[in-house]
Amino acid sequence: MFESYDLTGVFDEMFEAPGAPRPHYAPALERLSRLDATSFQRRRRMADVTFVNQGITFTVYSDKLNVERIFPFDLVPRIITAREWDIIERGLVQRITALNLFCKDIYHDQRILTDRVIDPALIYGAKMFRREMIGFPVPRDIYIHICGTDLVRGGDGQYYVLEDNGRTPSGVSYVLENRTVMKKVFPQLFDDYQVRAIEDYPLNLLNTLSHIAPRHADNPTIAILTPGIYNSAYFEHSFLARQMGIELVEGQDLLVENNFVYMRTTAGLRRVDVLYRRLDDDFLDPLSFRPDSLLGVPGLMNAYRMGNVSLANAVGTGVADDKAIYPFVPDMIRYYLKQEPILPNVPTYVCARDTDRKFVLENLDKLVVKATNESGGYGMLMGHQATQTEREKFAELIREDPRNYIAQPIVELSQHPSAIDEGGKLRFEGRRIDLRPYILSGDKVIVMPGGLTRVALRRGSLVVNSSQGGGSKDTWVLEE
Amino acid sequence: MDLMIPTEESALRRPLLSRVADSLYWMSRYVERAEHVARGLRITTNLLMDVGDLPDELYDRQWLSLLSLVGATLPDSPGDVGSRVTRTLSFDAGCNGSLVSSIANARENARAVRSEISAEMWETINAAYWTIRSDEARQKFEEQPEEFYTSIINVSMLFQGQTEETLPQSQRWMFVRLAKALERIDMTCRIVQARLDAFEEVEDALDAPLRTIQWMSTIRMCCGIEAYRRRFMADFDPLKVAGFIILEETFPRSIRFNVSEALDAISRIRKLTTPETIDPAERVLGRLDADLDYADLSEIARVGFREYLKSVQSRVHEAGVLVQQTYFLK
Amino acid sequence: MLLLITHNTELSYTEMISESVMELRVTPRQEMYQHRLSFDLAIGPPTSVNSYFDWLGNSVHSFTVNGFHNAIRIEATSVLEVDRKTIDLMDTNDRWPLEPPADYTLCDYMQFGGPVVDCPELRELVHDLRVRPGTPVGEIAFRMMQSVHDRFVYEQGHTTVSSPITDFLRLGKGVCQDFTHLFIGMARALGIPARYVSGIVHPMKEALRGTTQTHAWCELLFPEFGWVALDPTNRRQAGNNFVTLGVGRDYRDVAPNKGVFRGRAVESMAVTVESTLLQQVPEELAAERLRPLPIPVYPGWARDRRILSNAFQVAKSAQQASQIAQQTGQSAQ
Repeated sequence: MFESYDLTGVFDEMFEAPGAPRPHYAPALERLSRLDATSFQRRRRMADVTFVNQGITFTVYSDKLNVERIFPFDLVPRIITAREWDIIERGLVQRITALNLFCKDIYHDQRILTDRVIDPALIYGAKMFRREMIGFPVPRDIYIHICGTDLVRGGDGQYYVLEDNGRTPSGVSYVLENRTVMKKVFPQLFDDYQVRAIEDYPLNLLNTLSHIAPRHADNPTIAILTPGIYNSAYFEHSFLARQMGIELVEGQDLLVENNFVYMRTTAGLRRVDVLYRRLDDDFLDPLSFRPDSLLGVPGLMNAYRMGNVSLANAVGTGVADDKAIYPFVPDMIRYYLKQEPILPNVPTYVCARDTDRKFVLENLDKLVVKATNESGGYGMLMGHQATQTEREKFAELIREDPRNYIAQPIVELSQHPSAIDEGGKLRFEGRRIDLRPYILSGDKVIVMPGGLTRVALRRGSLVVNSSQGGGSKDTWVLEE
Repeated sequence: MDLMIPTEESALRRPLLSRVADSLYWMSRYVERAEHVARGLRITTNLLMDVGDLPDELYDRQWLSLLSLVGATLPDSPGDVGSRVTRTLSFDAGCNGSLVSSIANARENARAVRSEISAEMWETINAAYWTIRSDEARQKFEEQPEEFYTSIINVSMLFQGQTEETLPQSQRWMFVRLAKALERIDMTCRIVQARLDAFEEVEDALDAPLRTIQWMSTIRMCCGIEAYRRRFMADFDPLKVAGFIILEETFPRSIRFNVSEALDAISRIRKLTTPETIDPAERVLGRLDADLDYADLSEIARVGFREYLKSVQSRVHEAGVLVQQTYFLK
Repeated sequence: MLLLITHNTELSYTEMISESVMELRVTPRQEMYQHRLSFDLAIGPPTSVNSYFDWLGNSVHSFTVNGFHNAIRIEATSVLEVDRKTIDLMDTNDRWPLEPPADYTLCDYMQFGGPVVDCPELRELVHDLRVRPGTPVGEIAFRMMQSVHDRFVYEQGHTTVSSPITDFLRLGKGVCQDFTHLFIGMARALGIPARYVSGIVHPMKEALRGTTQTHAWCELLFPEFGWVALDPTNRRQAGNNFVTLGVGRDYRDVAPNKGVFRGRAVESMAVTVESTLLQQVPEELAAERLRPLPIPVYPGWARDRRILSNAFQVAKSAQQASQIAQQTGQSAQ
């Protein structure tokens, strides 16, 4: 099924040259090549059925129709060598350390602004800058406890950071489930490899959450706060609650009394000490933020402010993963850590800067333009694929509100063989991928080995988001 | 910080969110409800094959009585009464209590407490949900309706077995058990009332074999034909039937059996939550339990089958309301 | 001037409600020109009250009433000394345009947001002021007050606390909040830092508009003098009879009370403010304190509600589903 495999000229994860696999992929290629299409197809179906039956689905909202879908799973694993991973891991630890220092600085001394490393107007103009957090000491000075950082690989094989997700990153449940399913349907593939385990993630997450428990709680009650079963990531919320053995609560389960947070149980009210909230700041507390939110807990911010409940991630971390702030993360690393960034950013033009904006407007056909306040692949212009009208529309938008846009050269994501089924005929074709590792900041920083590899399953597509037809792969980091 | 391994004691005492208790309770009721509706449909389909030629009015009445199980009305759609009723009670998502809506509601509730139930329970209800919405289900319904209804009954049986075998016997399990028992009592009362509606007024017009068939199918709908035969053989005396359905101590579908199940569940819930208080639902169920323990057939004969069931139903209903007030509306 | 202010808020509900969570900003600020000598806060139904300073330095009191209730009463009593300086607007040295301020945090008072919306009608109004480079800022402020006063009518019932200035510009009628928001918008359009003040005005001899209750006005930052308080509704500078409760970017930062509750009731609010000129601090008000008011809660009320099936739960979920579909609570991350 590899006969007509096309390297297409971008960085290919498996092949160095046509027919010549990179050494760490050779055993896997060997096994895959020995399979016939039927037995591969059977395994694929087995995996799909497992996902549907277990309810591992996400919900897509479009035209008011809510559709439950599985996240397509591509059976060819992505393999990362220990040496490569070492660089990624060190780079991510460095980055999250700087981002946490940045959040603390922004909400306290603002040295990075007074020293004009970052233009204060960028912060004060950011929607996610939460003035309520100014001067509030968060437990243990940690703001971003759980981070998902998106990495891509350019034509040169170099890993670049595409964006940080420091609010409520999702996807980790797929990483864990992908591994389970992979072991079930393709146990033989593991024979030739020493793959680093990821199964301790829930335990590490629980420890990260316990670490920030308020002092009064000897045996803290920790819960996940979910928007509810209609949220697209509900499966993940419920999965993590089960894995950690903690409660999964909705806003309506909680109430605030005398600045403590309680959950309503059959035996009356029980105090809650730590909330892993999977709800954006805006919806957290209708008293402090959006008053029309039905999902949050009125008075939660007061309990938080008094130190009676801890939140992960902290309120206000959106200021660090703002796309308009992203270009400055390397500067943050230099400023706070006095180190050179280990993982580079993708070069980025900030439309708020006059020179950058001019360049962007003149080169729209060669750039990817992103709205800084959107995520999930919405509010984006892929310049080279867009029509003239679309480009003109975006030019207008940029002129109206330059701060809301950044632009990047089109990163030719690396490709990886994926099993593609066209009219029942199965073969391997190269599809673009990215990588989202998950980083926990608690007592120490722990990077989960691997992460979520997302695949753009449409031929030639560079958009890997699940809402835009992306799938995922099991991701292996090798022991050595 | 080291992780605490929960001891058995603390696992039992682990708090249960009111919303979760509410969802577990309704999940269980919807599953049980689907089973009863499916059985009602299966038995009626079967019954009408057995009785041969009936006057149209009587024939339709058999079908229409089924609608009262879930308080539905006959839809304004083409076709004969039988197919309109079976279609509505099977696939009409807008009809509260139809198979498709009970399964969907059960799944919706199960999804909301996915982290509180076992993978086996979830997968059963989730698979049932996708199945009943599939084209295959429709096809099976058209071609082999009995098999279709049986598959729904089996979902419930499987689900309840899995609940017994996989859920720790904590509050969660008690709420599932309590709900199952309360729903079973309520549905049993409804079934008997519906059956009486279907043939009581015209009973004099029925000949003896037909009458027997009617009573037999009533017991069948309560899933008790084999147990009944073992006890009374082929004697389908209405009073015996009533006594069996209401009072049979060892029969897991009898009202008495389920009242004592519900009582046991609620008193264990109370002991795990607020041991020092008296639970109002427990009081209602306790009294009903005692009444049933000391009831005798002549009493039922005096009040009348229908009236007696009505009073049981309303007391169980009251217990249900009290459970909600005490545990779900905190 | 020594003033005694009582600021009472009476909330009543058409049905029983529960889980009221409220935040009050009713404590007069401590400022160079205003010293709070005493503060007494009474709240009913009885509950515990917590206080903190928000990021703007306003003093906030928060409380919850979880049991069933159909009324809430808040009585804030303060004694304070006010000694404001006024300036001669026609004699200021600061010239337009102002240098961008060195203190970057002031950009909070220079950018549009919330009800202070930038729009062509606002720009037109500003254009008509004929501000030229070199025009003294004091004179600009005077012209702005004149313009707002001449073109807009004080009339209640047309706007709400959340009305953007576009509504006011369109209707030509509104209350002190609208005058203030519009004034702030004009100043910001000219690059002059402007902030919103919520407060209370003690009535003086001359008739003032909108002073029977709480009031709102504006402060402009003059590099020469600091913040200067102007009352655009009454076309005057704030005097010693103006008591500042809170300052912020706009109304949303300083709402004297905001709250949410659980229940289907309609809320009505009655606010009464009284002020008295004092010679000395009365003994009973010498200390600062919190007191409960005897407003009842009805703990057993929930028992009477009968909910018969979770069809209601399902219906509510369905309704939430559509909301969540739009909100999604994020998580597209």
